[in-house]
Amino acid sequence: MLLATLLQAQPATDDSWLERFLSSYASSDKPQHELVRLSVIDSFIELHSGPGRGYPIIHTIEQGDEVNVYKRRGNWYLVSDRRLRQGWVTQEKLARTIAPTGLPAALPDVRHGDYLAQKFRVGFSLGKQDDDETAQVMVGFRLLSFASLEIEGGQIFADDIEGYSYGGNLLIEPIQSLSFTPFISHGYGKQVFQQKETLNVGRNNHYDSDYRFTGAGINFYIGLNFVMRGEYRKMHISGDNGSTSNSAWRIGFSSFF
Amino acid sequence: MGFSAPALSADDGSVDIKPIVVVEPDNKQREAYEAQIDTEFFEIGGYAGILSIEDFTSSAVYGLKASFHATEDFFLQTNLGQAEAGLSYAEQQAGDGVRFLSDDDRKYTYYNLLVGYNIFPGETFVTQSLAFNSAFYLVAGAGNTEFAGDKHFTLTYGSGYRIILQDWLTINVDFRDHTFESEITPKKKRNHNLEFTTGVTAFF
Repeated sequence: MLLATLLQAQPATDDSWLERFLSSYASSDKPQHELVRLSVIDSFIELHSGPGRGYPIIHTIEQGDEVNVYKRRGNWYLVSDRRLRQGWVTQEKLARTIAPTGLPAALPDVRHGDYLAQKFRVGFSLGKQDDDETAQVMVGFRLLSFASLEIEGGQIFADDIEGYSYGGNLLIEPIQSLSFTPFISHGYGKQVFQQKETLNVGRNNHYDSDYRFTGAGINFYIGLNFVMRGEYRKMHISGDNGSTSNSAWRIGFSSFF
Repeated sequence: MGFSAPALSADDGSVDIKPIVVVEPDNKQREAYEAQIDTEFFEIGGYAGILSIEDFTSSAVYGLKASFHATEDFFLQTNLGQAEAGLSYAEQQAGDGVRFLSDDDRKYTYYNLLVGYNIFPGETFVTQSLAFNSAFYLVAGAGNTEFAGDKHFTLTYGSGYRIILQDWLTINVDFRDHTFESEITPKKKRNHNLEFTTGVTAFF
């Protein structure tokens, strides 16, 4: 049964299904005023003791029974039956339920673009700038569904010098409905280099430079919270000892929350 | 009609759905530890173990680790650790208190940024009535090692085993290889530093 083609069900209140699921995810400690109620149409659904396939199955809910949906974690939902026995069930299994009106349940799709409640992103990336390896930690914030701001800081590894860089980037991601989505990026920052101590012959050489770049890449969304990124950047660096342009590429991993 | 089939069509086209009775397994012993890590993503803790520094000795290593569990399968982890190297092989051979490195340079400190994958989640059964949720995972990533007065870009990969003792407490065992190109000897070569640690972390 394809999730994407299910009809919109009539929820118990005026809130849309999406808003209810998002709010239950964002404020998982607060009790729900109106619980989402669904009826099981499969012969039975199995409930695990935790949000993962490694947790044992502790309950089953029969066909025709109603379940209340409390919260979501990843693509697992915490549900309970009318006897208030709780457990976790995957989105796939829960989709095989119907709303009180008799229409199939419309659960939030697996598309990452829908989860606007998850605004923050944290992660790291590893790559190369010309011949020098780089490692960066990054924190991002989604401004709009297609645009996010990031700040990053990290290290540059070179043979004779050691460097640090920090800066801010803007990412534009126009298409959200696919697992692989392209993006373009633009950013500014600073790079600080210092000659390595082992080669120090007296003076401590210190180079400060500013950089700006334009880049493009692909995001690969795995699960609902996890994204892998491949990015190529054309960098323009200018500083104490002139300006130069070089290319950098990186692979990044980040998670939403 | 007495059949236990899920649906019967009568002649007028109506469908009769009969409920299926499902026999529930005896789950008394499992109710006791129903997992509640539904809102917990962050894990922070410490670890200690042995680091075998190539060309040097094996030394005790201590560190801090923090993980962010993105999905059921993937997590992001960062580690910060340090060890103190003993005598290098060359110094041991030279004997008589010969030293090629200062004591400061013998400090081995590192940080790394890793992606982890819970490849085999499940449970571990300690006794007949005691079971814990567990997972065998793989990690890979890179970071920095500061040793012998130099900073090296280091690749790290390895595997580990995590046992969740309580909702908020886990114990884990990790085996990792930290590898970097070394310029300590005249020729550039790739060093492998093997690390074996036990750690305790808290979920929140």
